Amino acid sequence: MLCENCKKNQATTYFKQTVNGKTNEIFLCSECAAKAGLSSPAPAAFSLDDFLLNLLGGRTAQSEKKVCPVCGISEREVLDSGRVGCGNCYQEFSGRLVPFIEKVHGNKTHVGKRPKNRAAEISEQKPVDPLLSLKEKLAAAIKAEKFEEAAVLRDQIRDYEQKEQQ
Amino acid sequence: MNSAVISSRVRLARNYAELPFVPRMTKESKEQLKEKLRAAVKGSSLSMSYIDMEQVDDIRAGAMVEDHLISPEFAQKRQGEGLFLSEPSENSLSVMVNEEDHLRIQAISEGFCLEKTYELANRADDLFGSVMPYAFSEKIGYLTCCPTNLGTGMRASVMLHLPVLSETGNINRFINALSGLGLTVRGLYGEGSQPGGHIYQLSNQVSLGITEEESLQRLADSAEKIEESELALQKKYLENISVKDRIHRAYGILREARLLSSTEFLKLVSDVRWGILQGEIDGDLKKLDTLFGKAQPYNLMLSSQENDAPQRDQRRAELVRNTLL
Ligand SMILES: [Zn+2]
Ligand SMILES: [Zn+2]
Repeated sequence: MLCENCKKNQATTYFKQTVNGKTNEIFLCSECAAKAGLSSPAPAAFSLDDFLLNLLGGRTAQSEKKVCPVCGISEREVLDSGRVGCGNCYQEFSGRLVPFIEKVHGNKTHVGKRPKNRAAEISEQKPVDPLLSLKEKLAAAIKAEKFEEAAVLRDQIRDYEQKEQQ
Repeated sequence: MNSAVISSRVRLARNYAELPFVPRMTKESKEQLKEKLRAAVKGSSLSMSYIDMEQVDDIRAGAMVEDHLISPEFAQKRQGEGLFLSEPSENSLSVMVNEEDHLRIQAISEGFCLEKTYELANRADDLFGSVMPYAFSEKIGYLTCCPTNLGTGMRASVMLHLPVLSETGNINRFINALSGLGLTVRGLYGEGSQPGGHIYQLSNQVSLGITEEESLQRLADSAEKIEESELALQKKYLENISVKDRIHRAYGILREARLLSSTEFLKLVSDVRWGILQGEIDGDLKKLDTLFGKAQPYNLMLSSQENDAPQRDQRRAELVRNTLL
């Protein structure tokens, strides 16, 4: 049997991992097993994450031209790198990602902390620096080539900075 | 309290919903995020200083890695990255901006105290979460750049000193059992298969479908079991006179040596650590544990400005002598 990771060498190592009651079985050549930290007597790198990601990328054939409309990353890139480009990618590429997520975590539903109520949090704090938000607006205006708007913002920033210096 | 656990760590991975994730960000948007967070932290109750990583040199970055304040990847890149750091103390907080995720919030404490460490990270999380909404899904939790961090986005770990389990190979029994609990063990400071100083890091591998509390509890329970087994073995081993002799010799060398290489230091300090833990050597474990970071190459270069290895070995011996006085 061939190694399930590189699909080149003969598999010599059988590895079994149970995560939350679900068992993954993998056959590897000695090289890939060493890379995943499975053959050395002491644990070098016991992380299977990258290794599993590799497995996921290696098996794709079609549908790789699909692109996330929010961040522009392609499904192929996500599968190769094992990294998504934005939060929307998880919905966009759920067909490929959900089985992988289940395999890694042995689970598919979140049960832990949720972000706190934003509004309540913010009122406890000082407001965000107005100069900073002006600068942000200016950068956005320049990027969108709205130069008239940018000129107004630039003057506002200048006024603000002068006021602060006094 | 003296323990086989040297330190506890909790890391939370977070991203902001309105921005693309780090690999898809432009240089400008990385800068904007850093500035925005900087302003928010300034006006908050968190007292943390800000460091622009582009201004940090190799030596300082290397020392931060040795102190576990930043990741090796973060130290290497140093482009578009920022770092918030609390004052160094028994419990420190560091927040990496634009690492793999927008935020890597990390709390580290001396000794075995996962709950307290989590609380520290959790408070910082609430603050950073109030700046802009986090990327979060009711179904799969905090959305992270890598799917292996989904759910709580939490990676908690304890650093364990396991000299006897390690030397006798008994550690492997635990490693196999732990993977069934969604936990992993790896050697630290090691090159090749033998971890230097017999120091291991035990951490949770699964973050989706398990609450923070349960995850921390599982980790703590396992660490306790491993520790128990290690301490029992240590006691047994010390009955052997040649082992006892080795421990005391190690202490003698550390207190008198004029040159100490990194490898020799780790071997000796490991023996002395468990000698103190077992009451065989009268010493201060807390002081000794500071050496694991401070006697590393980059920390030595930072404190002594010495760049060549022989000089460094001399500085290392000096530092160790002064610490063990
Ligand atoms: Zn292979
Ligand atoms: Zn996307």
